[in-house]
This record gives sequence, C-alpha cells and structure tokens, in this order.
Amino acid sequence: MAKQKLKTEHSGPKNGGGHWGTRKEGKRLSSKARRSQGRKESKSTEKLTGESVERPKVHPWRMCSEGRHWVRTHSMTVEPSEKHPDGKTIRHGHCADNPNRGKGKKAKTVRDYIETNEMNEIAKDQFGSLKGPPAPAPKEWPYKSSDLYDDLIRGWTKYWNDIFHPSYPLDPNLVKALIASESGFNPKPNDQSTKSSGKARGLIQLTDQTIRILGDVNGELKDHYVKMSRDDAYDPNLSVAAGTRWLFYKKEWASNKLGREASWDEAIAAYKGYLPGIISGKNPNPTGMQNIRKHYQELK
Amino acid sequence: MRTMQNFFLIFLLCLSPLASAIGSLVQKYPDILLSNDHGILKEKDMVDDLSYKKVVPYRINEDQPGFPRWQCFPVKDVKPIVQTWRGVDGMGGDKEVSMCDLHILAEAKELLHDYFEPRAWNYNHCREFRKAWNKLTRNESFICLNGEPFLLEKENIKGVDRMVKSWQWTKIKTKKGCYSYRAGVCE
Repeated sequence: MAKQKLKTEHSGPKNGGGHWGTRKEGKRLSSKARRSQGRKESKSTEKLTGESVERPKVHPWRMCSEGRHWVRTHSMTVEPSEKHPDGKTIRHGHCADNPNRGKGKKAKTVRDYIETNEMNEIAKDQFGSLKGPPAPAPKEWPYKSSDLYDDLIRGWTKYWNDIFHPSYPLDPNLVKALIASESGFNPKPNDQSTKSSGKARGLIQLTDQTIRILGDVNGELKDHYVKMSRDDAYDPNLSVAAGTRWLFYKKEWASNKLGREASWDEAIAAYKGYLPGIISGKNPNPTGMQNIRKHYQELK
Repeated sequence: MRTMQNFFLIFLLCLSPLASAIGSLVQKYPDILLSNDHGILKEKDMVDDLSYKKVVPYRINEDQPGFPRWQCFPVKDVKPIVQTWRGVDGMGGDKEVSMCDLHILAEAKELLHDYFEPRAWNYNHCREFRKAWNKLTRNESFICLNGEPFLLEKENIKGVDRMVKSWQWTKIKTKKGCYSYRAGVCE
C-alpha cells in the first residue's frame, strides 16, 4: 500500500509515461525524456527542411525548398584533427536556411532568397531547352550580340512570371528591348574595376542601390530576394535575373501608385523614374522612353 | 629672304602631320565622328564600340538608335539643362526623393541637338554631373558628345520653329577627360 502511495505521488508524464519511483527521481527521468523527445522533434524538423523534404519549392527549378537557399561547394575552416590536419575541409553544395527578416522576437525566416550560385545553376540546367520569344533582332539593329542573351531573357522572364503570376505576363521582347536601350547588349565596359558608386552597370544597367535593395531582407522588398555583389552586375546571367526581378518590383510599386494593375509600359516608366512625371502630366512623353519603345515595336 | 623661306618650309613640314592627324579621324571614321574633333578624341574613342556594334551609315533624317556617334561643339554653344520634380527613383526604394531629367543642348547652325539620357535619376546624379561638367569644361574651348541618333523633328521653342535632332548620350569628353553615367566607360 505504501508502494502504491509512492506511485501516485508522482504526477509526471501522462498516457503511460509516468514513473513509479520517488518524485525526485521521476522528475530527473522525465526531463531526460523531454530532452530526448526534443532532439527527435528537432531531427524531424531538420528532415522536413532538408533537401529530401516534402516542403514545396518556390519554383520547380529551385534546388532547395521554401525557406532555404543553395550554397555551393566551398572550403571551410575546422578544428585541426587527424582527418583534417591543416584545419581545412571542403563543404559540399548544400541547402542553408534563409536569413531572417526583422529582429528579436519578430524575426522570421524569409520564404525566398536566391544567391548567385543557384542563379547560375538554374541558367545552366534549365534554360537550354526553353523555346519561344524573344524574337531574333531585326537585321537593321547595329548590335553584334543582340541575340546572344536570348536564352537568359527567355529563362528569367519565365521564372519570374511563374513566381509572380501577373495578369499580363512580362514579354521577353520587352526585356530584350530594355537591354538594347540600356546597354546596347554590351555587358562589360572597358574597366570593370571602377569603384564609382551611383553609376549603372551591366546588361540591364543596375545601380549599387538597386543591388543593395534586391538583397536586403530588411528593406523595401517583402519576399523573393536576390543576393549579389556590385561586380556580379557585369555578369549577363545575374544582370538579367536581377533586372527582371527589379522590373516586377517596379510594376508592383506602379500598381500601388496608380490604384490599378500597371501595364508593363508603366512598369518600364517606373523603372526609368519617369512614372510620376507621366502621371502628373509634367513630363508626359519623356524622351528616355523613346529608345525602348522603338526597340520593342521592332521586335513585336 | 632665304632664311624666311626656310622658316616657312619648316613650319609647313611641322604643320602637315598635325593637319593630317586632325583630318584623319573624320576621314577614317566618317560615320562615327561627324565633326572636327579639335584634338580631343583618339583612335580608341572611335573603335571602342566596334567590338560589339556594326557601323551603320549616318543619316540625319533617320531614327537610328544603337550606334553612337561623336560630335564636337564649342563649349559656349553647349548647355546642360535639368528638369526636377519630387518622385521615386526608378533604381531606388519607395521613398520620394528629388528627381532630375538631364539634357545637354548643343547649338549648331540651324539645328539644335538635344542629348538626353535613357532614364531619369535621383538628383544626386545631376549634382555629380554638374561637378564633372564644371571640371571638364573650365577653360576649355571644345567639347565632344557621344550619342545614339534619334528623331529629327520640328519643335516650337519659345515661339520659334526649330529643327531639333535628338540623341541618347553616353559620354562627354574634353581635353581634360571624359565622363559617363555608365560605370567603367570613361575610367
């Protein structure tokens, strides 16, 4: 009877998990059980967020599931050991958690974050088999390499159209016309080492500020961040990927400004900084829009 | 008298390579350099774009975006003008900032050349341009502008009908140096 009393003294885990011993011992064992259970749960979460997971990807072309991004094979420093006497090892390509948006208790892992390695992998693996616009450049165009970046334009336009699902998808011909008007299909200037900030770079002529905003998880963008460096803007693939993403951001901004879904021509006007002047009537037909409109007409 | 003749001969000998050098760029690249360059431009300036562009013969009446040409003017005939407003920078965030649309106007005989940029910018850009402009043009007589030709149109400017040729400019150059809003083009 005394033993039975001892049993009921402990009110530990229920559903058959109780401990038939002293209260102190019961508490100790129950804490151990909790830690073990916690580890199990943590492992299962890890499995859930790992590469072989059921969590959806933001896009079928992506290498990692939502909330994670691809990190390519890289060297890393470890504690020197028999296996790694020099304290260096190779970490193979893997998925890593996305950074957090916000700080403290409000911090939340961002859903979509893409870095340069993954953008390069996507272009390499996915774009070769795609077909459709942009149209080949008219013979009168003076650019020697005007069709050289068609696969990148086609691929990234499809990718961002799939992500954002606009009512009127972005036309790859418009992206091609934008590149013609901005850089004349010349991705690399004479001197790429220039540190001058505020100037435009690469095929789509992104600025340092644009590149910063695209990758800033605590900035203006709410999701679908693109992380790259200033020098990456000279890379045609990364320039088209980031520039097209930026165009979608400007379309969203223009739609908010207009109170209706903006057209792509209005999105381009916003991209070029002309939209407020067009809306107010102060600069209804800016000369800076002539170039892209002419190129676009010739491609359609 | 003979000394005078010798001096004149030597003077001509010295002048002829100089004269041919001045003329040679226009003669060699008539579709890239449309005027006398007054010793500002180099062969490199002519061939810079040729690695990725095909030469298109220049026709003043046509809209020919894509292939840039050089033209040089007396500095006194060239004037940058800036239109400003409050707006959102196309390359920036959602905040309203001072924006500017920069044009460079060049007077040439009956024609006014209007060099514009492919986009409007945060006002800092125009401030930067003004600084570069002052530095490049101070005590200089001529300036060369590089741009892609657009329409030739009749416009009414201050009550007067004028023929205006539009250009999308990329860089400007004097004997003091070069400036562009594109990174790495002039550095």
